[in-house]
Amino acid sequence: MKAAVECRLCPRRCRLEHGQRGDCRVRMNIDGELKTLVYGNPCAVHVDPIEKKPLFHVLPGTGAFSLATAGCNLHCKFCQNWQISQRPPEETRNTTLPPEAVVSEALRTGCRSVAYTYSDPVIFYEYMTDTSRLAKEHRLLNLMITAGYIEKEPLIDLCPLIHAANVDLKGITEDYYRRMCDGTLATVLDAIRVMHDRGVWVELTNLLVPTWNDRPEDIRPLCRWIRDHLGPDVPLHFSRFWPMFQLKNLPPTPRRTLDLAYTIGREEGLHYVYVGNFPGHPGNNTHCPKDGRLLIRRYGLAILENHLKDGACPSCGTPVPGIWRIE
Amino acid sequence: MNPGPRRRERVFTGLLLTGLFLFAGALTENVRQLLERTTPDTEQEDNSGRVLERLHAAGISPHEARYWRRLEGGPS
Repeated sequence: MKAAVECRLCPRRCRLEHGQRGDCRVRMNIDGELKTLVYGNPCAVHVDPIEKKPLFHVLPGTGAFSLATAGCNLHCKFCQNWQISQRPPEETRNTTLPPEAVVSEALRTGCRSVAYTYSDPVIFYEYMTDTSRLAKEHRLLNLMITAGYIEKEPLIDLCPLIHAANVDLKGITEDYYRRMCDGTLATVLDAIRVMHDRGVWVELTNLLVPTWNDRPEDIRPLCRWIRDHLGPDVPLHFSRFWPMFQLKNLPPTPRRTLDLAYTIGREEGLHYVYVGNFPGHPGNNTHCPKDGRLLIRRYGLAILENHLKDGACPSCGTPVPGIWRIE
Repeated sequence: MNPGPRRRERVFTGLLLTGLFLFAGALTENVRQLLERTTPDTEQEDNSGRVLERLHAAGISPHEARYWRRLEGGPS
């Protein structure tokens, strides 16, 4: 009789007998030991502008060597990457790229960072941590793009390796997380606080899904939570929904909803509110929270102007928080 | 002889069958996705050799995972 195991990486705590996989599809009990099936086998590897993550306060205009493996520990109905996130690794086209190769490729392509992204890097934790350690030694930043659905212990161990994270705060009610993502909100809020408190530069993304989380009574509490628990300097990206995966019946987020969210974010005192997936929206830009001066002008993911001087407003000298250079 | 009713019948039957095929296809895909999620790849009866063989054939080399514990009494 081979022993059963309990995975303690994410709050699902899957209990697995020999041959069974976790809910993420990539962690498996083999002979009474838990194994990951995706170490060194990404199915998506790209050089992206860092703005695509989105991380607007980290080395603007630089490339991020971005990778993902198959699998995910959430099952969001709107997932943009469902072809890889909701598939086991046998069903994706993978490449062999051990941590050393990730770092050398990132350096060769002139990237300043490695981004663990697309699906959710929580499920390729071991691959991410080993790569991060190596990347850090080579003065590359480590970026984690995640839903934050992870247990506290592995997250605390990970924080010293991660420079910046964009956490997808999908909604602000447990009901939304349960119905839309098959997850829990409290865990995500805890994870955001842990990362923020441990010095990881955190930006948040909220996807505005028509009829699901796009009312002022959905948006305002989310902004308040950020302001009250993290402070007004944490950037919030409102992202435009596009019909996808299991929500093809819904329309894209209308412009007026994005405008409304942007206004609410500012009304609630957040200093850096952005609108994403909508090129040309004024919410693509960064302004000084003190004198309102335009600091970084963007069109979608492209940087058109960058007036920051040593990470501060050139007019009034107000520092803009973020990572503007590699120490 | 008026072929109208019989042709209409054939068209109707054709449409009905097409609809049924589409419905069955959608249902199968949904059930497959559901099964994939609720009973992920159960190979309990399999021996480890065959599990590894199948994974290797797919180009997958299992690697030691962190953050887990062995359950003494089996999963509940």
